[in-house]
Amino acid sequence: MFINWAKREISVKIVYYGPGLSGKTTNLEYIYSKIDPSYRGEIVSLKTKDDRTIFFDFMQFELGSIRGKKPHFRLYTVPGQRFYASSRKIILSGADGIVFVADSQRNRLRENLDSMLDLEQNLIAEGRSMADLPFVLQYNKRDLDQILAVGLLQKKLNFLNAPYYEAVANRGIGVVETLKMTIQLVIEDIERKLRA
Amino acid sequence: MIPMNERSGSQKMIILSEEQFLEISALITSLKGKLNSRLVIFGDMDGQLIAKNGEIPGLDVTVFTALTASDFSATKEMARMVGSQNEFKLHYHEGSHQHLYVAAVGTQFFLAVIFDPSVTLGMVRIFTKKTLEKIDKILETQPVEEAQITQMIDSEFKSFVKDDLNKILG
Repeated sequence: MFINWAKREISVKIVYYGPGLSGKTTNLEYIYSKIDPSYRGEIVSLKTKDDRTIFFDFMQFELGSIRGKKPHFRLYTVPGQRFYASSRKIILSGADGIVFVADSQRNRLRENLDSMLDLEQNLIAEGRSMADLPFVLQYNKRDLDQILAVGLLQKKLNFLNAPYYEAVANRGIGVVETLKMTIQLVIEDIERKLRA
Repeated sequence: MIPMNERSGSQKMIILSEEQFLEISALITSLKGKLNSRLVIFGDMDGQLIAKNGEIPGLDVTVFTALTASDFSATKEMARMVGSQNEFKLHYHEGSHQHLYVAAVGTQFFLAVIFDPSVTLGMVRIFTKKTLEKIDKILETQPVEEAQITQMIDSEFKSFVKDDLNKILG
């Protein structure tokens, strides 16, 4: 988190984490499409030639001035594929909040678990932990046939009892709700830390 | 050295005071003038744009800052992987019409200068180095008053954020 007191700007970083092809980029693209251009900058996607995220996707948006204070939100996704471990570590650095986009498909449970473990290991390497960070889970692809029940996903993935949302990111379902909850948790967390 | 006001243990929370911002902005303006550069950016390694002077039509400076910071971090990681003990302190990209010079300020910040080929790299290095040293000194001092920091977020702020998010995201 960064506060520029001269400009009364507060800027937070939210990172979308999760396994490859779970829908992280789709979340960002939907948010970008929803926000009026006067409130947001460009979206940048560093992708391979077959459209997979190689480094990160990024966009920033801001709200109007709130009694002179201007909140800015920087949203990043990490590349989900296993071999981009270093990129994930770099992007995760300085995150104020995390959205974990899980793939609900039955045959992707292992990848979700591996990605969750990878997240915690990267946080530990920074002296942090999932338990200390604003954290929201999104169970994506709820429109597909071969998916696991939410109850089972909750049991397997949500051991922190974090807020969670069911989503169909390519139709925008659950995307905005996930982001709003994450921002709310981040702001509460910052307030707590500023007063500590 | 603890640059600016860092709080909350391992989670980064950086607070730039009004004086720090104004002094850094003045240094960046002066550097831009000396090098006749098109754009000078001061950002943090997590991709946050802090101050800038100049502009390039069509360039989204926020995105550019995020990319520059990630580029720096990626190179640092590459250095670590090949066993380099020293972090890379600067980057230089030579283009046909514009060059980009990026230098680290401590471990947390960087300064990026976009300049045209009529300016020699030596000049850029000398003036940038002097500016970096001055910025480093500014970052060591002038913490924000505790009372001011806690004013940043209150219940009214939280409720306005909620309303504004509903407005722009539906």
